[in-house]
Amino acid sequence: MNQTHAVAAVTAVVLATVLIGALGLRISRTTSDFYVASRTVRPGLNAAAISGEYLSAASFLGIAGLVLVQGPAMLWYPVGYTAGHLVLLVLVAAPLRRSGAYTLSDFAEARLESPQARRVASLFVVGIGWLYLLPQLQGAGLTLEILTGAPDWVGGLLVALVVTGTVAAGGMRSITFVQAFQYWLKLTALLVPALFLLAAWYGDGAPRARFDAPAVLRGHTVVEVADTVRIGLDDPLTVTVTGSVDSVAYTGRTVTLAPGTHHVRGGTTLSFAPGAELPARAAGGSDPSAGPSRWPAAATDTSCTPRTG
Amino acid sequence: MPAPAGRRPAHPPARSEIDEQTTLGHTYVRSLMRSQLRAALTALGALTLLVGPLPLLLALPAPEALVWTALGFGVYPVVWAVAHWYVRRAERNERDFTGLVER
Repeated sequence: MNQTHAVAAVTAVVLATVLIGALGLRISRTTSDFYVASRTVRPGLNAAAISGEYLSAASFLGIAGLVLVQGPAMLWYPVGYTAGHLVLLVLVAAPLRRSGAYTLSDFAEARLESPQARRVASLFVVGIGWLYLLPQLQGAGLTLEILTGAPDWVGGLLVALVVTGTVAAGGMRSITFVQAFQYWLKLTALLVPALFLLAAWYGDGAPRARFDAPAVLRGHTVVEVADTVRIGLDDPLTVTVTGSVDSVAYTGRTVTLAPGTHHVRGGTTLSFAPGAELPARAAGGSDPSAGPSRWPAAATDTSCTPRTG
Repeated sequence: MPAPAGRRPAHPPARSEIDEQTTLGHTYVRSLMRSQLRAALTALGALTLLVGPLPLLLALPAPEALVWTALGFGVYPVVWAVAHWYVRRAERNERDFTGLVER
């Protein structure tokens, strides 16, 4: 993506967030305003706000990647969030609203008649919030780094400043407006590419690839192996090698590797013909923690650098 | 407005029973809390019974499309229906209680 466009888009979203937050700022005056927006938020807006939180970096980016790597069983994660929301409604939200308390700590103190319970509940809220916040800030930093090339702490700092400012100034009303706005924005950002991808997939003759099918290289692909790696082959593989495989040095020679485990020295360049099957990293090799992962997953780390030509 | 002394009705309304924290008033509130707890437990039970066995079902050799359909679409209306039933039930409990108290 063009960096100027990325910076403009991020600036537009930040400005819109601050403006919408400022909308609630004028209205938030009482404690009830601050914590529950004086219970004036309509269910539709509130649902959008809660769903805006649900569409976080974790579900926005994480689930798609998990399904890609591990298959559709990973859809259990969003099912878990949703079932969790029901449990939350039944056991926490409804009794809390009936008690008239504003926060979980208020509710714990009122229900159990113990200031101790209040302190413990506060600690849990802050602890869970922290655990939830860390990946979100990390996601913000990562996203901004990928889009604009900014250092990885900028995204986290920017999000922290905007959200803290909005909450501190406008309370629940501001943040509900902001979350509802972001929900519709994120839903659009998800649905538009998804529809285009579906259209492209359909235009491609609706190919049905299985998740556990071996990865096949579509074009002529050159892979630089940075760290020494052991690969396991089920079928013979023909590659052009510059470097060292099984302690034999090659310079641009095409060899056919027999099925079995092979030792590829770090710094070796492997050149695959179109249609070649990507070999899997063998278990019990030089890096036992790596396991039998396929290379596309490993391609994101530093162990090898694919170049498609 | 407090009723003048000596002219209390034979059956004081439930509200004053609750305000004065009598045993009867306590029983009214207790019955509301019990009915709300029952609604909550029913909702949780329905969730456990309807979604809980799904992993067992998906552990059977099933076409991948079934996994996509069940986890991507099928579960959500079920969870929504349970939540909807719970909210309606809890609101009805509150209305019944208000009706009893404001009688």
